[in-house]
Amino acid sequence: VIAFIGLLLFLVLIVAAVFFGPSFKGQKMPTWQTEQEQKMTDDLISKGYEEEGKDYHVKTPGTIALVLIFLLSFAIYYFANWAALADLWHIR
Amino acid sequence: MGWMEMMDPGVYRLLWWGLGHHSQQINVAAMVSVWYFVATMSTGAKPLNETVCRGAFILYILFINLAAAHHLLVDPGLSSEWKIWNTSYAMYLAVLASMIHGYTVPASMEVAMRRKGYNKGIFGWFAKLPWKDPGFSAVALSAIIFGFIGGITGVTLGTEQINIMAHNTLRIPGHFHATVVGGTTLAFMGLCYYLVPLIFQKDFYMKKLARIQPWLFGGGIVVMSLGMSFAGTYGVPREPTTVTSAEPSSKPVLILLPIFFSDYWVSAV
Repeated sequence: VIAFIGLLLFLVLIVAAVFFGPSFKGQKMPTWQTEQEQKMTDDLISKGYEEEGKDYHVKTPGTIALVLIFLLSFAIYYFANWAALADLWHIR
Repeated sequence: MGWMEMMDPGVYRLLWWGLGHHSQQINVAAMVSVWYFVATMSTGAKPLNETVCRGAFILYILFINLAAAHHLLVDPGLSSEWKIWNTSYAMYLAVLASMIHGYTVPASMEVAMRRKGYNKGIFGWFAKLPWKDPGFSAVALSAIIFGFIGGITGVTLGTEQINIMAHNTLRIPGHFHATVVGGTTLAFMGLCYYLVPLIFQKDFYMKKLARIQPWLFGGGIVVMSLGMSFAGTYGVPREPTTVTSAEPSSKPVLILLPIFFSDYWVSAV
């Protein structure tokens, strides 16, 4: 039911925008972010890999933590299923 | 048409799923492309290593066909060796591709956010992601639902021994609603929040409602998918018409079924 409301809302939003949405032809595309945020994003997009050079560091401790949470979730679910299987199939 | 003397159901199922499963993988590859696109548009992220990311797509092409064998795990005409090889060693190389994308997409966003100056702690960048952008939040939820619910249940259900417990129960639709609806559909919804302004040059009305839409849809799919998975764990069959044959222990869960099945219409639409 919740998902269905979400789907209806999506359809209404898209149809309303496509057929009745305010046009911005010839102007800058509206953004969902603040102007400052959008400027920082645009700056990052416009920079090429070559331009960034050695400053382009790839330390990602937050993503590594997310990956560890994912692996732990997987291990718990996977081995819980093996435990359930062991309950059903007794090895004599 | 009388061309064949007898139709072998085993061969039919092998051909059906051999072609059928990797047609789903086209959706998955498109969904992952949407992840990369929206990550760039919303945060300025760039793939950490383009060669590795492209290589992960090649892993899909090479190994997802073998993974189709997980649909045949209880078929009597195939040997255990064949099933175990195709659904473990070979299939995990396709799963590896999803895990590569599952790392590189958030990692590229983390790098972009840290470059913007959001360096506080381990998750400071995560809190500062553009969650109010419906395009971004839809794609972020898509990746979380696809990975945490669809991915974890998928690999577990694809294990031959565990599949014996889960086959033809409601756990299977619980899994693929997380991957197809919570993953792919939600990602494409997020893409629309960028495509509509780009193609039609028109802005959205009701932006506050747009901001909560991905959360409503994603949250609903999570409830439905987990509900189906738990119901299946109690032995509720996959086909609603055979629900009367469920284990007596599943009866309390059956009360919730009308809620789960009402969401089938979401997929149908």
